Amino acid sequence: MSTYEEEHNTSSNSNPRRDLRAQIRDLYQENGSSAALLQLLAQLIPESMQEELLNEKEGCPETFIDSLPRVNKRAMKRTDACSICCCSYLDDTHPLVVELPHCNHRFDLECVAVWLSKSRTCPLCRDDVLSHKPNVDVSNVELEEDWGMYG
Amino acid sequence: MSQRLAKEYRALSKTLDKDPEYAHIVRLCPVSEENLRKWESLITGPPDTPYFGHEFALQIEVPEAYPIEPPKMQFQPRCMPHCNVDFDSGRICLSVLETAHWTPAWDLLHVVQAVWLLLSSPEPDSPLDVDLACLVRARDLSAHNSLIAYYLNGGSRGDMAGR
Repeated sequence: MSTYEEEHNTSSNSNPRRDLRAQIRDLYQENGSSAALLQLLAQLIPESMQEELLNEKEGCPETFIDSLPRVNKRAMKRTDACSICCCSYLDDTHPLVVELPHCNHRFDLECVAVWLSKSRTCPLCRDDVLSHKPNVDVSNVELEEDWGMYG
Repeated sequence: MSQRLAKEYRALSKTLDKDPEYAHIVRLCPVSEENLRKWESLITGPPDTPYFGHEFALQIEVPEAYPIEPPKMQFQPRCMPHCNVDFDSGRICLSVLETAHWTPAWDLLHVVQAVWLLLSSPEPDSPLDVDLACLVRARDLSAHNSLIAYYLNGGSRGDMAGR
């Protein structure tokens, strides 16, 4: 009589999964929940679902939101408005407006902070705001090359 | 943030009156002026679809966290035969209505517009009505359209008892 695995043709990939489960069990008994454990658990989830599960719950870190560059009041036009609250920036005498990296879309800090605490995308173009590496300090890189030459 | 709803309401009455682009939206307004969290809309069926010549009511609920969270929008129960609408409840499967795909740059007008566009472009890959989705997938447009016409003109979908 054939086993379930033979019948359903799953034997080929069942072994790595079994190893993975054993690894997880060991880890869990040693440490309780840990980053390594969560990573292994993530491998058990199909790739397509992983992306959804891991991306959805995470917004941007507070440090990222705080570091967004402010827009100078003089760079705003009378008609410029925040697309989240739909209010003109200049209706406020001291508008606190920030610009997202790369796409350069602007919003009231207060409005976009709430959104980015739940999401990583620009409300206007869905650009992943965390996907862009911060600008590399070029002067430093040159310095290192110089060191290489003399060393 | 509730200011934004009031702004949308004010802008809407102008847009709907003047802009011919939205002529198919007969009505989009709060059910009562006292409560801006409950809205209703009336749209006409798009031309060249079996929905043409019929009007459809949408029920809209705006959550407290709007526009950070999407509005809830559905057709009246048992009024909309469409492969992306659950006929019995009126629930709509449309990406922008889901938290994962919503962005606060959208507003009620554009969501209603998206729902209206869905009527002329059924998406069989995420069906809530399997029978209609199968007909779309099989490219049997005439069967698809006549089945919808049959339902819209009072044809029976069978008894609800036992579901």
